[in-house]
Amino acid sequence: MTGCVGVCPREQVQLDPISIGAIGDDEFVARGAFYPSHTDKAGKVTNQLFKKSDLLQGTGSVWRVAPVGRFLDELIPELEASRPNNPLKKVLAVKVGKIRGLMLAAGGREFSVVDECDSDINGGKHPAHAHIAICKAAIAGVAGIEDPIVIQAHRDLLLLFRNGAVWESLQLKAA
Amino acid sequence: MHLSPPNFDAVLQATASRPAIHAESGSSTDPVSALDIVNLRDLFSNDSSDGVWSDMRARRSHRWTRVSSGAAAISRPHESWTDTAATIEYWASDDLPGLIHGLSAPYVRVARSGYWTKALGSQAFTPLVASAKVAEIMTHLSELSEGWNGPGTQAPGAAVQGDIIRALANWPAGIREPSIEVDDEGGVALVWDGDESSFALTFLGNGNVVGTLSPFTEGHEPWVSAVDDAPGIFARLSSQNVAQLTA
Repeated sequence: MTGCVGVCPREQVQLDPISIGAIGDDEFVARGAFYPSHTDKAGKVTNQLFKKSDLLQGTGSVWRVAPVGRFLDELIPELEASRPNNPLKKVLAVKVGKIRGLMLAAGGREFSVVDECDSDINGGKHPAHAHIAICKAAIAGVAGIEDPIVIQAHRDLLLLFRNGAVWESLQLKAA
Repeated sequence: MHLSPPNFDAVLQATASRPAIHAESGSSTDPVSALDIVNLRDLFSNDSSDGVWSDMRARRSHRWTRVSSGAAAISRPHESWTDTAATIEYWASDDLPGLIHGLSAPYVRVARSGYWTKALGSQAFTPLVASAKVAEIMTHLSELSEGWNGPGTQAPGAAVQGDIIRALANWPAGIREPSIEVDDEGGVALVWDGDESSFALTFLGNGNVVGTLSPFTEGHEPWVSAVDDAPGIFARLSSQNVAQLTA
């Protein structure tokens, strides 16, 4: 199965009416990595940073960061407060163009990055929220998270984010 | 009474040189085609307790070492199973020579869900996983339970663990130890990370393993292999680009 080649029509238009607009390739999107959900004790990012099922459903949750989106000094305290029992270890940011540049073995793109503003499962929304989704064309006919296409895409995305730390907790640095 | 930890190097050396294997009881003399225990060495050094076991048949007591849990896989004509929480008993070698049906020590038996197998001579044992790191992995996995990472998260089940055991049954020398990543959806990945690339073996408990080199590289498409195809798996680990990470 091949993914979209080049431009994804869903990325070219504003999908959510409250969003700050369609997402450009030069923007950065960020995700918080919490312990123990997303990192090990030493802060190494694990494969739980994104769930395969979320990517498959098109709901890999990320934040658009400055200068277009949110400033980190505003975002980080919010992330920390959102999971009081899970320390925030890192914030990882990746250029959108790099995510959109990940390619499937069979050809075409692995992911789209779109301005979906649903920021949680309780109806919360934010104009600078975005979703990473496995390309809908690529997963046509894919059975589920055990499909090699999904596993490859998941691992490729993890590698990008793993190398994209833009903030680390002082606790982690001290350790 | 306290026993010293068994000398496993001696055990394994003896194992290699003893071809004939028979069950303890006279009711069965099935040869044991494979009886493998993961992290035997690790368990005995860290999780063993010593005591006295009364062998009523022999009408005498033996010193014994009991392991509370471990991963075991048995495959022989009348039974085949994998259990990640098997109970393993070991009798110290200097207690037993010639005492039980002529088998020389060491002497081991394995229990699954309260059912004891016929005791087996230690020559039945081969080290399933030579890597201490992989032994550590299996111990770690067996400690996880449902909800381990919050509500709704799945622990790697016996099927996943059994698949890992089978895939790594012939772990070759020269392969770098991987890191382990357990996901919320019950899968496990063994990962070899480099600075700019990463290779992963992903197990989902369906009898297959998926190999992925990230980022995707021409000529290294994701592949699926039966977990029993150890030679095929390790041939792929040795291929160019992947070998740079795993060697």
